[in-house]
Amino acid sequence: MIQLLIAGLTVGSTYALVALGIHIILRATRAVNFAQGDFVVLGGLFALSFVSLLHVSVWLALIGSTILGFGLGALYERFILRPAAKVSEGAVMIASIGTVYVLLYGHAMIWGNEPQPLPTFSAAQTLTVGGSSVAVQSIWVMGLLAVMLALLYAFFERTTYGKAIRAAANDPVGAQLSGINVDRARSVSAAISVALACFAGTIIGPITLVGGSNGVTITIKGFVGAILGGLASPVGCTVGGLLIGLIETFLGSRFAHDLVDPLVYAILLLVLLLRPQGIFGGRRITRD
Amino acid sequence: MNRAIRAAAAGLFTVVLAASSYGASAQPQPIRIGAILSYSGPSAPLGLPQINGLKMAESEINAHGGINGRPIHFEIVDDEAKADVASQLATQQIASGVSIILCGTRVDTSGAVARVTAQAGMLQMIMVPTQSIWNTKTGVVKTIFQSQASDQLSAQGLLAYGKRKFGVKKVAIIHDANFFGTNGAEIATDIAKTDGIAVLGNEAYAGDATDFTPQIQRLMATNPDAIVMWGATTTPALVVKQIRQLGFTKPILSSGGIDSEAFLKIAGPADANVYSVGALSKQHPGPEQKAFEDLYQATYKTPAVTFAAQTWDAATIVAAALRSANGKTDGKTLADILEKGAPIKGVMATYRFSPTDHNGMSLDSIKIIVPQGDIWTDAPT
Repeated sequence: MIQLLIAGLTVGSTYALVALGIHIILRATRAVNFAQGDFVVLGGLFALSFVSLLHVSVWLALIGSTILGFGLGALYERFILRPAAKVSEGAVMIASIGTVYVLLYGHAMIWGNEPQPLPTFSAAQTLTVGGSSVAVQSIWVMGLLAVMLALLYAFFERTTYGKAIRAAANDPVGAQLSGINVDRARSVSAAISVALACFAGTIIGPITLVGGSNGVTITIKGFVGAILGGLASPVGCTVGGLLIGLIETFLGSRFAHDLVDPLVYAILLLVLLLRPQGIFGGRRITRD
Repeated sequence: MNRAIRAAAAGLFTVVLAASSYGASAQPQPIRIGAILSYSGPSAPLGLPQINGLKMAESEINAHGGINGRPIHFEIVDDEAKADVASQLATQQIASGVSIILCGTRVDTSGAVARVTAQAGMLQMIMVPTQSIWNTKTGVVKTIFQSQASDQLSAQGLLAYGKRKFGVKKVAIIHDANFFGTNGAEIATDIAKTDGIAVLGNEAYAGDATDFTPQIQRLMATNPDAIVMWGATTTPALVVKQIRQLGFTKPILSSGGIDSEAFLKIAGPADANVYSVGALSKQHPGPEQKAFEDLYQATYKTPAVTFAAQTWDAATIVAAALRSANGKTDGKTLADILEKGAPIKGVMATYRFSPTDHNGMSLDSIKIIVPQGDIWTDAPT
């Protein structure tokens, strides 16, 4: 049971970070970022490059990958999402989908097609918890998720600029009138969103390998978690992502592997029918 | 004066053009052979060495006179590990005039192309262990031959080794949910039962999965003497890591799909007590294998692996058939030559094809291998 719980929370941590990233960029830019999962893959590859080319520790690679993701996210908003938004919402969606393919084929051209291993965050590979053997990296994943959530909470709730970003997301016109640079706030939101994706890709990389073509799957699972928990609520997105990881793992312990995804989506449909705003969602995200 | 210069230039150009055309038509046209391999995506660790083996074979065959004076050329294309892409590529290559097709890296792509080549009556070499591609329920497909030890031979070799070396009496099986894994698991189950080994569990995993905790827990609960694993590419390395993380330390007996550097790199220390099958003896290579490995190392600066030997042998077999065909390249003629002709010495085996055996290998061709650092080596006997 402990092993299943830890396995579920480990994979759920990635979904939670993806769901949270989708929430942040959606709130700020009104754009659903279909490329969020591919940024997760890219983050792992950034970390791999730091480790293999610059020969730094995987901890420094985590920081480097997250910072690179932040910069990339700002560029993504400024040069792809913002110009598309001036055309139409449909253009934003197409731009985001186009980014998926650019990243997918770009990964392969730069890093090759083979998934690669990333070193674990500590030398110890397993430890015994409650009589069961668990992977130490899983503990790191959950712990680093908690640290990141605490940092995000502190930023958005306790800093002036964080509150300004929230204000710009909630009421762009009012925020503009209050002297908040709304464009810059959107850029920072997108930057944080992609930084979260790169962070996720690095912490899960030692377990799942980095590279590969599963970015779209990660995006879908993150989105499912966000809808389950409540797309309008950061807490909901986080809990939703963790829940999806747990549901997948526990369903996998009861049913054949090929039934797991259909069952997960069936649960999602049930939630949408009974509580469309999600478990923690209080209101819908409105569009300007 | 300008007119004279222009006339001289035109004349010179004409002479040069005619000379180069003459040179081109005087050289024999190469025999074009299609090669549809998977060298992108998760199958890249298998497909890339296959390409190396094939390119090396082409150079060697042409350096020794080609096929009765005609060079051969392998037109290598990437099917992206997708059966529908492989099928389209086969149709395109046949339409472009290739004589033979080598395909492929994966069971699904090989099977998809087999349907196309069989309809076209074209010889195809497959480099996957699935015998049912040529040995179907309706009989042997005349034009398909195999240069890879079959799953049947691999399972026989692995289980016999496990029984002899570790006293294995009960196993649990974990396999990729794709055709290769499922078919291999069924074959391993049948052979285990024939050998008096009980099969206590059978679990499948999706090829792109990254967590296998539920499946591994169910298998461990049956308390097997060994876990039999049937999969290929990089995912089995993750499976092995998780099997060890969850506390199972007994032997893992795996299909040859893990005979790659990528597996060793990813599995790391978790590869201890893992046994697989390969066709290259690490410690007692025959003369053909030694020559192949030396050439591979000199060419690519890395040790040869089984996947490179598969395409090398496929090229060797095709070349042998073409040399005896008196210029004919149709599938039936080449198949008749292979079925009735002399054994063909390859790196992995001496192939003895017959009308009922298009694999041509025996249990002697199977070597049990183990990881040793970052290479595979012969397992202790």
